[in-house]
Amino acid sequence: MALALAGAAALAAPPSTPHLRAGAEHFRSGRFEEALVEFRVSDTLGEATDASWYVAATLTKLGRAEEAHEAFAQAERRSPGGRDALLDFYRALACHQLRLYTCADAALVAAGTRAGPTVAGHAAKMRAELMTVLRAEPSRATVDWYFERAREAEARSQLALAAAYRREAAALARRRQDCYRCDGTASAVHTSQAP
Amino acid sequence: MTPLLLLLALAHAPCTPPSPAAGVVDARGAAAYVNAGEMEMAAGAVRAAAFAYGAALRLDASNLRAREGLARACARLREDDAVEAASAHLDAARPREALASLKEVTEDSARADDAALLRALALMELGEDTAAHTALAPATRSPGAAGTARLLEAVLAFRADRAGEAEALLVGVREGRARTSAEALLPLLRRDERLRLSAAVRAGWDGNLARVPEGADESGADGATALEASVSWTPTGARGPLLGANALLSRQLTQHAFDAMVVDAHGGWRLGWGEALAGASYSQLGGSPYLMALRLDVAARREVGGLLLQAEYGVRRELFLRELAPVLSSQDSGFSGWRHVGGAGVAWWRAPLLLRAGWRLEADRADAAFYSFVEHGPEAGLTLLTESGVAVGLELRAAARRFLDVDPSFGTLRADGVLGAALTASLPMDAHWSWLASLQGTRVVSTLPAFTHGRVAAALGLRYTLGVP
Repeated sequence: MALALAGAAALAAPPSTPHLRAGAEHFRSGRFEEALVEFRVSDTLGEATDASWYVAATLTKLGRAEEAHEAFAQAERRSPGGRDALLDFYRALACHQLRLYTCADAALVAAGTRAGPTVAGHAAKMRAELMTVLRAEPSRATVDWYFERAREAEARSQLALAAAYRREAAALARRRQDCYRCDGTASAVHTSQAP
Repeated sequence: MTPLLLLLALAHAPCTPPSPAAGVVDARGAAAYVNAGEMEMAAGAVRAAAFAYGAALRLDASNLRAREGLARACARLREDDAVEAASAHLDAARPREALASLKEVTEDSARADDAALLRALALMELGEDTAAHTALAPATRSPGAAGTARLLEAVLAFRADRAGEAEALLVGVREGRARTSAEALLPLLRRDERLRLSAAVRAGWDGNLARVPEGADESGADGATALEASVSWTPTGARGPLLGANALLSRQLTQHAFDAMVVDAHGGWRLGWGEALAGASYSQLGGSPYLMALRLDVAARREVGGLLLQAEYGVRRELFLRELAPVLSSQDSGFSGWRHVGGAGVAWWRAPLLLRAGWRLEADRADAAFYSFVEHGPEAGLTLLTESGVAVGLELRAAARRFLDVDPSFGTLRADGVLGAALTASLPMDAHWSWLASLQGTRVVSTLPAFTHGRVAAALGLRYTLGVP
């Protein structure tokens, strides 16, 4: 990651270059809060839209997965060409922290096709673990849990996260034999509680 | 390393007063840092925010938003440090130091809720429950802390013997981790049932049941089975009246002179500081009436600085039922009398360990002075109690026993030294059934060789307990 960031920073044009480079230096030294600030500054100064990807990756590293997920979505909108295999791997980590397992799997698939041997190895191992999680038929409570997280994220205006939870819920619902809430409708409990 | 990195590395401590780069003012860069600082502050990442504001001031010392932001972030960091320090002090059982650390945190601080909860915990550690209740008040009104505050309120209510209120508070805890803790506590609370029934069956081996002297050819060993049952009723909960009864029936494999039957009934009152009980018991030995006893017991306890001080005294009128117990043969008269037992000790609890130490004193004033004795000595105990309910205890004791008159049968004054150890374990299988195990050893050295003996006994058992709220 640090090498990738240093390389990216070298390609960026001034004046954001020093901040990208400073962010990469902090990241490499494990000072992720300082790295995040530098990447945010670089992003604000607007000289390198790639910085938003690094903001997202650093948020993942800080364990701020919800913010990271939103940041990845924003980076994808603003700089679709800025992604690389390593950033996709960080995106998979963020999804995994949020229990968005199908999201994580999709990001790992994207990473795996372009990654070097080290990242590809990590991605393959993580996918194998995800397959174990996803193999069993999800319970109704699990499907409800994801819809509930989607509702909460929407209430916090984390729209990308809400959409991801809803996609995850729908994907899990389709894997149930009774296709419980496959159409995305509220559960009986929620319906009865609706005003 | 670039000059920018060098500047940032020098400023690694986020609240270090910034030194503006000489002759360099970068208002646009400073504004970008301020923007990052405000994003981090809003996300609760205060250290990152302080770093961002500091970096902004180094680029533009006149940036007011950066200056105010840095002051705000650093104040918050000091409060974070105070809360972390208080938490560490509490973990290390230093409640007074925890309270001192929390003075840094003001009531309008973002960490006020955490500080209120920690303050209450520290006061509870110190036994100042009324002050702890007051300290919790702001947290109970805060959505983010109300669940944990209610949890602590429940503990306070339980400690004040208001079990019903404690249960209602725990049931009302709905929030996240606090709810998990409340759900874990509820069964423990409900374990304090008003009516409690217990029955146990044990089988064991006693290496010297008959207390055969060392060097004798005969063996005093025997196996035994026993049935035990008990009932206790506390109609008003932890405080108020207490009624109870116990029964024991044991049968030896070979030495049936030691077959025993004991029934006991008692009643009394439990108070905040202790309890007072009166009871009566009747026992048979070898199938014949053996002993009847009336007793009065008083116990008191008080928590001081994390230590539980305990004292107890009991007096027992013993009436040996003459000529009926074969093991007493012709020596059955003169045993009856008054027995006084007292003790004082201190207990210290630090999960999962309970340590106890104390001194025990016993005076038996039998009708025949040569059966009367005074015994005293230290005792200590260590109990390991896990969250799953497994309890393992080790008890050690030593005593010096001195009889008050010369036994005419031996023509000399008897004095004994006693060493004892007991290892016990209780392994719960579910809410009602538990496995029991015990191993005990005693060594008595007497001035009369006939009383010098050693004894090792082991037993396994199964206990059923039923509580009714």
